[in-house]
Amino acid sequence: MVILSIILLVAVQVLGQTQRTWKRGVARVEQFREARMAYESITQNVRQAILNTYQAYQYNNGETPTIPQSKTQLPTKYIRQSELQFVTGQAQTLLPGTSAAMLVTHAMFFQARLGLSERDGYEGLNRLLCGRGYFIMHGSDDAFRPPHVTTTRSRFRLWEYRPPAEENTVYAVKPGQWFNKAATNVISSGETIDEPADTRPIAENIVALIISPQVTSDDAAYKKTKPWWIAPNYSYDSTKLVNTTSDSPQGTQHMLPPRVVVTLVAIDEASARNLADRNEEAMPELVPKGAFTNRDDLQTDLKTLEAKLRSEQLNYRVFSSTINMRNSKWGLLR
Amino acid sequence: MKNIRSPQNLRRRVHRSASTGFSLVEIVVVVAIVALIFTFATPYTLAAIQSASISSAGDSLMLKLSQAQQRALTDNKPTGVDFFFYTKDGITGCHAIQLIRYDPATNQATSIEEPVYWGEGRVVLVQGALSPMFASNVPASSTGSATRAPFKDLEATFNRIIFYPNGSTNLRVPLRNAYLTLVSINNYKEELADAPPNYYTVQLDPVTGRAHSYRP
Repeated sequence: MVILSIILLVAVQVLGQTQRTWKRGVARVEQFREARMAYESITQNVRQAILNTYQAYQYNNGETPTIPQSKTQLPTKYIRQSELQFVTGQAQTLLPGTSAAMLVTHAMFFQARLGLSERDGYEGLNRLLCGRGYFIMHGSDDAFRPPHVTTTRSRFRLWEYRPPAEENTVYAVKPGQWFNKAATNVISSGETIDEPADTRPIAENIVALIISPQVTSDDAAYKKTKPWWIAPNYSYDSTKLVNTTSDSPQGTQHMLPPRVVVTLVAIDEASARNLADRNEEAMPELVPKGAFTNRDDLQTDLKTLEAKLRSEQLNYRVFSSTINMRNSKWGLLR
Repeated sequence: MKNIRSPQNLRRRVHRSASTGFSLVEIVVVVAIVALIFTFATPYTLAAIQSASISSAGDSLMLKLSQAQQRALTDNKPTGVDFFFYTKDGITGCHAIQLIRYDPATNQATSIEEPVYWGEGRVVLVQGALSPMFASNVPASSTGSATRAPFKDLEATFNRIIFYPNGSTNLRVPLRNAYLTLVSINNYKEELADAPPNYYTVQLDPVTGRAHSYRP
């Protein structure tokens, strides 16, 4: 009888363990499927980023150098000009405001011919110019969770800012202002069909998004520097007059970087659940303070983050690839 | 040499075989233990089988939605999923889905794959409060009577989700209402309002086409 009881206990324990392992495996597969799809979506869209750069007369050095300040003002030279913007950097810097504390790592905003319209019947216009952006924000799913799912999920989520073409305000506002409501215009419980939120979750349990604009290895070798010299602290703004040299007085202004390295760190749902249980609704600090602020330290920062995830017993996966920007005309700098 | 057929040896063998048999009490105890194990194990086993069926059905729904979105993107043509609702063995709901190619100019749909049936008939996608995705604002072109075999013969109706190449869908509902729920036929009730202990809810963002699952 004793032996039978022992056998039964062992069998129950083995079954329980097998079930837990199975569930963990399934959770990992499903979770990383969502992360993988979101990653593909980012890479596919950012590849299409466009600035529509053109040459225009420069009349002055003010905020609007291509517009003369008087009828008698004469142009001084040709400059590169664009009304569109490609910008990357720290999410908290790009999106200041009440939600900033919930943002982690980097954000990226750009325009591309993504063909998104809010009007029925316009789905075929797939070349319409639209703004697009990505960032990570921690929060609950109360605003959009089905009512019969009673458990609140406070998670890190990858959000996509995707205003339709009709809301493309880039020509009407100063650079950087067209996306400044991206973190506040997220889905609310009052969302209606006529006014869908512009910012929507595309993947759960993404704990880090690292964007590094770079030049090609050949370009870096030509300039005898590192490929990330155009954004040594990950910040790149195509509207800013930076990285100027005597050969290139406009530097990288109104230029798309030739390459963008996108890195995504995802954890699985079982790990995220354990993490949320330990932290309740507070945002867990997984990314060390000061990490991912200097491109030279990327590998060290990644190792530190991975060590932190391992110490918290979180299953994770790192997605990373280099995207060649289709519309970048970097040869102009040479 | 020892004689193995000696009377002493035969007696010993008979005595041993009698002593190694099972008494009635032993058999009753063993049967009782086996019955006890079955009594405890059966509900868990049935629940595990039920859970596996729901998971399998939910995963195949997620897969088909993902496939439709990917094909719309790669082929640059609207691609959709048809949900077929009919009554089978007294259970009314969606029992099958099918991937289709949609032509907005003619409003015609062509199937591009064989239909997928949920969990060999053990799972159903319920209508009502647990699946409000198709309850309102459904365009006339995205619903109606089934025209393709075998669903036409079953007098099925269909609801259609179309994925466009830009990633959006034809759904006109807010995200909080854009979900469907699969349950086991054992938990099926008409107008099921409360979620059973085991379910698989799939939420589809009408704007981004992103599918997300919820399990208890």
